[in-house]
Amino acid sequence: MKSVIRLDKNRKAQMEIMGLAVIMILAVLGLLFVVKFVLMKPETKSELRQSQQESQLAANLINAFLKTTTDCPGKHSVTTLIQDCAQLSPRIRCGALSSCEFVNQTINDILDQTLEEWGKTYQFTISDISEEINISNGDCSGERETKFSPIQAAGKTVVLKLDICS
Amino acid sequence: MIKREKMKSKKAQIKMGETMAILVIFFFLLVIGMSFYVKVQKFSIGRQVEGAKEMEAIQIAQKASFMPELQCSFKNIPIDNCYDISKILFFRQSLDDQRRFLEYTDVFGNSEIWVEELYPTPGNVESIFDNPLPGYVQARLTRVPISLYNPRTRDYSFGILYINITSE
Repeated sequence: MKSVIRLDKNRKAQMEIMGLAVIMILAVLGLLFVVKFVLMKPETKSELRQSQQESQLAANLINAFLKTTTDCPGKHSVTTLIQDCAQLSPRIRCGALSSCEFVNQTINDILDQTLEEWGKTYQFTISDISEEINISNGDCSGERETKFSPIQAAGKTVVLKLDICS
Repeated sequence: MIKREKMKSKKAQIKMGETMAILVIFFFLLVIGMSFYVKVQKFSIGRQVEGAKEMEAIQIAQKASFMPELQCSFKNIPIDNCYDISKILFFRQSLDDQRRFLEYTDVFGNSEIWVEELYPTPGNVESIFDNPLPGYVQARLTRVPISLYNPRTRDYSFGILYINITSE
């Protein structure tokens, strides 16, 4: 009789310790849950600012350099030189360089001083002109912000495309 | 009788011990839980403050990029993404008036705004607004490519508008 009572008491004690152990396990699981979903959130607001900047950077860059007055004799703008380059036989000469070569050099300089210096990967192309312009820096295979800018030239539309990659 | 009394007393002591142990463990868990919760809340509030600062930086950068006082205009039509150099020089001089400077401090806060020409003549720098926080720790720099119009020569040069927002 006494041994049966003792056994019963032992079982009760064991059950209580099991209960405590289950509470501890639940508490640890709860903590892990909080760590995963509260402390390790993926998006931060600094990424928002960067994304907002990058979305406007390509557009602002193209708009700004298209208006730029170049060193080319005659004070031609970049847009005028691109329009001349789009013709079957370009007429404007910038010293020893043709309009296409001069535009290529000017845009290259500008992109070197801006995107390349800021550590950005990019790809810039102008298609449908007599000498296609293609300037790039790094591998542009990931996510990208793209700006297309059409220019009317020689009865057709020349498209400038700037991809800034992240 | 005495044996029974002793046994009862022992039982009671064991029960008391059990209750104490449960209470100790409970309060131990409570303290750990509370300290962890406070840390998580502190971290969360810190991130919210950072987020608010970032949003403020975006707002100031947007305001600085579209200032009508400095934008190029022809026949009263403003041109986006273009600043007039003569307007920049005049604006800079006008900020010598303390009252005007304070008005713009409300708009731009503790920031530095300047333009730098990159093409065709690199290196020309014009300050627009200069009010950094003394001894600042954090700075958020925004760069905006911009056209700079010279009304004397009627030429456009390529430049960058820098907006540097400083904070503690």
